[in-house]
Amino acid sequence: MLTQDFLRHRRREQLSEEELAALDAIMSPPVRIPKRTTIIRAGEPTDRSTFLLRGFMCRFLDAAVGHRQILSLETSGDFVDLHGYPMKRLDHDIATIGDCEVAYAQHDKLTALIERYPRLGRMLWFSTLVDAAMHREWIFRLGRLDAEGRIAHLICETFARLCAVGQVDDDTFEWPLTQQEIGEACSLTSVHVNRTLRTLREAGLVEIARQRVHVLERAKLARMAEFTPDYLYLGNHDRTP
Amino acid sequence: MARYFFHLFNDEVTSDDEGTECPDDEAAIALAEEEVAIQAAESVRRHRHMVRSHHIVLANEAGDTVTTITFGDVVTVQE
Repeated sequence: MLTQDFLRHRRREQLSEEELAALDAIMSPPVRIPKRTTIIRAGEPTDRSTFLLRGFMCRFLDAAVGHRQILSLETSGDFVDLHGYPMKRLDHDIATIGDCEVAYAQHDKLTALIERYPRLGRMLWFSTLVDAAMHREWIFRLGRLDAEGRIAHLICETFARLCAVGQVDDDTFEWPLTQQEIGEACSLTSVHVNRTLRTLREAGLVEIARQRVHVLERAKLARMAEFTPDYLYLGNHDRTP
Repeated sequence: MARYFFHLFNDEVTSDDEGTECPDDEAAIALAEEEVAIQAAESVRRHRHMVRSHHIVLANEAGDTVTTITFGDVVTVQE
């Protein structure tokens, strides 16, 4: 199933087999997109939404001078621009970080889908509200945490999200971000990121090498990041109406 | 674009293995000055002092030093 990671470990169980099959059926065949490719630009009219099957993408805004600000990371199972469906254009760009595989959902097919399956429509709404919750957490991260805390937070969040889609093995996960991209996500310069990663490594908390992150002390990292995963709405405790 | 490496020498040595792409030496030097200013500010924020001789060595892809910029080079103290 193409959309097997959609809301996986996040209320996916609340969807019926029929609803899951109907969602899968509107997807285009998989498309591969090379790393560091901008796939959608702010302001362009859009008539389809992108479902990320595999890889890392980011939403970002370009600064007039200097680097872009990465607004969010997108990982497997994310409907990266589902908000483009009701809005019909985006107010930011989206690019791949590593090599990605995606499937597209045409907006007219989404309309037919949510008219036939209103509950599925509410679950799609829920998924974009989780994105909004992550954006709030990112504001907190950038506004209130120091360099160590920001990077620790980004790692804790990515760890939790990838865990949910079965992409963490032995506390290790794929990490195609360069130090410059970590800087763009955490509002830090490259030198500052490099220095901070060294501090985290020497404290025995995390090791980043060869495009992989190995979390050594998850609880300590979470404490440094003031990270609790509540805002990710993982698990199946609460029921979407 | 060429790749430049920003090695930081403050209370410890943090070598830059990944580098950053810049259009030319001039742009890389400007970025290095900015990085030095940020590290000096971070030192003041954390330790309430900065050491003038702490520096960044800017190297090019060949491994040659383009320039060395000290904290003292970019920070002045006024009365």
